[in-house]
Amino acid sequence: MQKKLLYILIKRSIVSVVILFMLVSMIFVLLRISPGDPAQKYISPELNSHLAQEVRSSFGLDGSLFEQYKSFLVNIVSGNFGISYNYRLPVLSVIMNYLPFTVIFASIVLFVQIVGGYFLARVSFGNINPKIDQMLSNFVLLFFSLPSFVIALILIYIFSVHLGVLPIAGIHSIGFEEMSIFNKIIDRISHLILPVITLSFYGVVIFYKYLRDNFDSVSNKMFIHYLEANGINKKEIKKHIIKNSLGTLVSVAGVEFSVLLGGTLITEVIFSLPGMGFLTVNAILMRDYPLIVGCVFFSGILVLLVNFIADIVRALLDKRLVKEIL
Amino acid sequence: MKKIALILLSIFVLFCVVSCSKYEDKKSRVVISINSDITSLNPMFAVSYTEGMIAEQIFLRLVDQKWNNEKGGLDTFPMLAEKWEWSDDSTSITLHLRDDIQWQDSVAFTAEDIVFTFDIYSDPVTESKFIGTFNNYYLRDDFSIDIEKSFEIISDSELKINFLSGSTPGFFDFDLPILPKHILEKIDRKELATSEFNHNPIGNGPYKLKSWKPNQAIILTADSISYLYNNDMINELVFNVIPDYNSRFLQLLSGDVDLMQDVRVESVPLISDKYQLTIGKVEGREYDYVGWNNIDPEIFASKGEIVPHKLFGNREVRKALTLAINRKQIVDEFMKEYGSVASGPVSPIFKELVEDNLEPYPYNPDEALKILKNEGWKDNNNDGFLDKDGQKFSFTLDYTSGNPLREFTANIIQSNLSKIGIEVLINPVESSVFFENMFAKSYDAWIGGWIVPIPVDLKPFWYSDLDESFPNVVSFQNEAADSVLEKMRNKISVTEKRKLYKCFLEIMHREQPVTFLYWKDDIVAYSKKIKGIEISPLGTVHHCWQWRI
Repeated sequence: MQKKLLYILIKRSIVSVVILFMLVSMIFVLLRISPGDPAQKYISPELNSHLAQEVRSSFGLDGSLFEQYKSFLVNIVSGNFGISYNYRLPVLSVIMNYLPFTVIFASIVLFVQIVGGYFLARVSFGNINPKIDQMLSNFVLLFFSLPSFVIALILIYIFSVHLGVLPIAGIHSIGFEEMSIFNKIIDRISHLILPVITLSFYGVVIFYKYLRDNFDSVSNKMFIHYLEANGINKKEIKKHIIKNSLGTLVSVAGVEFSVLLGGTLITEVIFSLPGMGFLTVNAILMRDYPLIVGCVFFSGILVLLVNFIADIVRALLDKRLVKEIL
Repeated sequence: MKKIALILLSIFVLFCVVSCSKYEDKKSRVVISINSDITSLNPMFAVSYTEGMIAEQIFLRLVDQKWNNEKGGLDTFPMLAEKWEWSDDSTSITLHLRDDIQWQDSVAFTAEDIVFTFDIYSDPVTESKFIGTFNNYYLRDDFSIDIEKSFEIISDSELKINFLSGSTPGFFDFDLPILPKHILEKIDRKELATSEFNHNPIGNGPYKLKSWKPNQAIILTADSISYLYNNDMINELVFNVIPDYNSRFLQLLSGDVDLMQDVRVESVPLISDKYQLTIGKVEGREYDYVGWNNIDPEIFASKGEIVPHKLFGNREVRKALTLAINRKQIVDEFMKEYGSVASGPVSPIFKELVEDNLEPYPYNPDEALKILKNEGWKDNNNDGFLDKDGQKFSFTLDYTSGNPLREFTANIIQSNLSKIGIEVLINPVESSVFFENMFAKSYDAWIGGWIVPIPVDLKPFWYSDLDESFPNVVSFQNEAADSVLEKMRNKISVTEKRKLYKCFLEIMHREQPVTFLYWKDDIVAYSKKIKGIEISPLGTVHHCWQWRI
């Protein structure tokens, strides 16, 4: 088993490096051939026209494309992502201002989505009344069809504007530094409630649908009928159904977590959250090439990592899948 | 399962209850919303309006400028320089500096700081936003200021600035924020643009930086060692980054934000009395225009030659287009009382320069059609569109996407011009791509906008030398206008200046290099608890150390 795991690790690492190399190279080329000028903000009637040229030169944009690509690769290999054109800070330090929040926020949202989806699927599966089951199914579909910005605005209107019980935006209140630890915790949580709920709706429905279908599908499998025929009690049978339904959940969780880590622009903008989605889109709008590459690189690493972990978990749940992963 | 549901519900209710009793301490704090994060607090790199607005609270200038509404111009008051004397020929000035100014690290401010500041501001290596703007100083070959010739330090608190002989310097030539020499001289000039100082500045202003959380908030706190400090001044200024307009507006209504700029016209009726907000407006020095490329963009791009544009190279055609666009409708329907039809590139607020602006051309499609017919544009093939020598009068109108006012304007223009047989294809473009193409002069027609600088300087926008005046994106070339623009920079009396402005505006009116659309007011809403806000063309947050609660 250990040998197999080592083999998987080495194979995955090599594939990941190749994917990341292709990803950043593609981004590099796409950025250079796309219209737009990274020094645009330095072109203004109030500024001297030579300033933009000075800035372009300091960004290293006056060399040939091949020269730029060569120095870009050398820098990437040595772990140097360069200086953000916009923030004038090392790309790594800019990303580190946004990445921790994104990881924590995405983890919370994923947790809520899984718990919510699982909870609804269990309620629905355990309910003998088909009408209630149908109602629940239709109800979650309604939320599935609502765009996140609509949910966000409805929640803000109800809880922040009308009831005034939750903050509208930001990750903490003004005066946060002077608060007691207890107030700080409450403040942080109260700021996260609405964005987490907004982002969770979609995922809850996804997990609910997958689990609900899996419960049905597994409960019709032969081994379940065999258990029933042998008079095993229902509680025990349910345990088997649930355990055998979780494989797909892990795969979906892997994909969903990757999406969340890549950033959730609309929610981040509405709730003023310092997330990777907002950072990446701003970098694209400002043509901040090094920062765009940095954001894509880190998002790529996270996606590969999360999918790898998801595969490992799936293999641990069902050892037959080790071959598939190999 | 029910238990879990109950637990979750209880937790949610608990948090709602606790957050109801949230920490309240807003006695001496004003929260100002900004729509994007800033990137530098160092004035030499503070390119955006927001960066400048925050940086000016941290770094003091040599003199203080205030807008005089009656005069329609600026008045100058002491700041770091408590008094000054101009030489008889006005080419040098002796500044007497305050001796009670300290940097926020308690080091004394001296004349050395001023000389050093101008040295790095003008040094091309630093990538300062001010490089190439010191035209009235003695310059070196690389256009940096020749410090030895330009500055004479008489003592720590006395400094003489010598300007070029024959130049016409004014306060704006040295009215810049001053930086601390003792900190910045230790940094390699090439590294200044990326230095830590830009994010943790040490200034000498009424406020100092308390914290800066990326994409969250910039908090300034009153600095008791500043000479502008007063016990009654606002203790904390919080610049809250809220990118989404709706979120900003909701926070204004809920009281989480105390001051919001750029309020949309359609939001104004929603601000009822119960919100305890005052609505003000910064009278417009920003206008939108339809740029008619005066030269053929394809020939200019391929050969670099100036050839009149096949549609817009003729001033009579441009005049007809202005007559055919219903600008009043745009103002009445979209901007309401927060805008006015423009007739030229100088805002009516600059009363000291322009006594009476020319009346804008009225909406008159019949007259427009008559002019176009005289110029040979007729519907010869009866397809509903004007044509001349087999060429249909059709063009693309580009504008930046995501701008509701310009989108509305583009649609009105399309509809208005189609009535006189001109086909307009409207094309919203992402802003970065738009500006790149606009400055490359590659568009035929577009909707753009300019902010008239203070002090007013028209030469960069309308001078014929296209290399020297890159903002002249329509490539307008007119000898009479050039002559007036050159004279404007001479040492002349106010009366003569007014005459020149009148003459220039008449040329613009006649030539219609662009169709001037409207002047835009910036709508500001702020809490009634804030007293002493002066809304002027210099900005709303200007002089916020004079605010009280």
